[in-house]
Amino acid sequence: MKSNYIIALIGSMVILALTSCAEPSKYYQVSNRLPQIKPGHGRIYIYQDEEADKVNTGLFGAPEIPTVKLNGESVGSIYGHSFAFVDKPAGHYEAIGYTDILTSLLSRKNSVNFDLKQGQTRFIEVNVIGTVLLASTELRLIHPSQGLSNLNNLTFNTLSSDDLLP
Amino acid sequence: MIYFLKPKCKMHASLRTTLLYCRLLVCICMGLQIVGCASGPSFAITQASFKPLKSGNGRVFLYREGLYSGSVIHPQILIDGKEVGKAVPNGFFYVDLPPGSHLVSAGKWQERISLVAGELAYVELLLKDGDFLWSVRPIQIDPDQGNTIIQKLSYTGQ
Repeated sequence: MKSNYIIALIGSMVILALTSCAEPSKYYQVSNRLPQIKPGHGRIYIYQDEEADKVNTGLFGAPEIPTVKLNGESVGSIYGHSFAFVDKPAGHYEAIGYTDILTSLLSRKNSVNFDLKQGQTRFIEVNVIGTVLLASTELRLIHPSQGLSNLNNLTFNTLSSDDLLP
Repeated sequence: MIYFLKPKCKMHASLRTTLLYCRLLVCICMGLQIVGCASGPSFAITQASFKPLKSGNGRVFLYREGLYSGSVIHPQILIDGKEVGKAVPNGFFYVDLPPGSHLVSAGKWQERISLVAGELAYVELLLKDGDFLWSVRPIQIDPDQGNTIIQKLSYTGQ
């Protein structure tokens, strides 16, 4: 009888471990579930290619999670090795990445300007350049073919664009 | 400051010597940084002397920004296994290639780029700080941004 309880306990622990280790959604897994771009809109993918534990170092090595704004409106935080996307009306946009006010002032490349056409897809890569004390955020507008290729193994950034997935 | 400038004290003299060595070291480091950076003519000056792009080919501009970080490191850049130039800070060079997919390699980093006939493509050689060594990672940048950045860099030749 006692051994049955032990087996049940071990079994429930294994199930718990397996469910908590579920693989997060990669781009190639969710790409066919992403909504169509609305007429008059374009899509902007924002991603961080690097693993979070490799470059996201800020004050005394503390992790830095960059936040990205589009024309002053916050898109959300971009975690290491993840991506997010937003659909926006066609027009001119300025994307700004920052971790905090001080590093934003020090960074020379924390913004990109671009035009978004109807039905167009743009790719912005976010890099956190770490030093001993500070981390600065750099944004790059990536060529579409490379941007799409970079997205493939990145995890969907659920904290910033979860509501966009059907 | 007056304390450091007292001339007759031996201890102070040694401190002054140490300070002098420190300044010398800083000057050497700054000199090395300047030597390690591209100092050739700018894009605007050299643009007229670029060889005309052959019909059916595309042109890839490869550039590296930055002046100070890792400036003494100039990694070799290979396209499809053939050396085409070095990643010199604040510098750029170009290669004409047939259209299609090409593999740009810089040490441990490899990126596949796409090129269309008559197209100008831009590849940034981004300095990455590893655990022990610097390296450069090639990234194909959007032509609009690449064209803007390259205007302020120096031509390093092929």
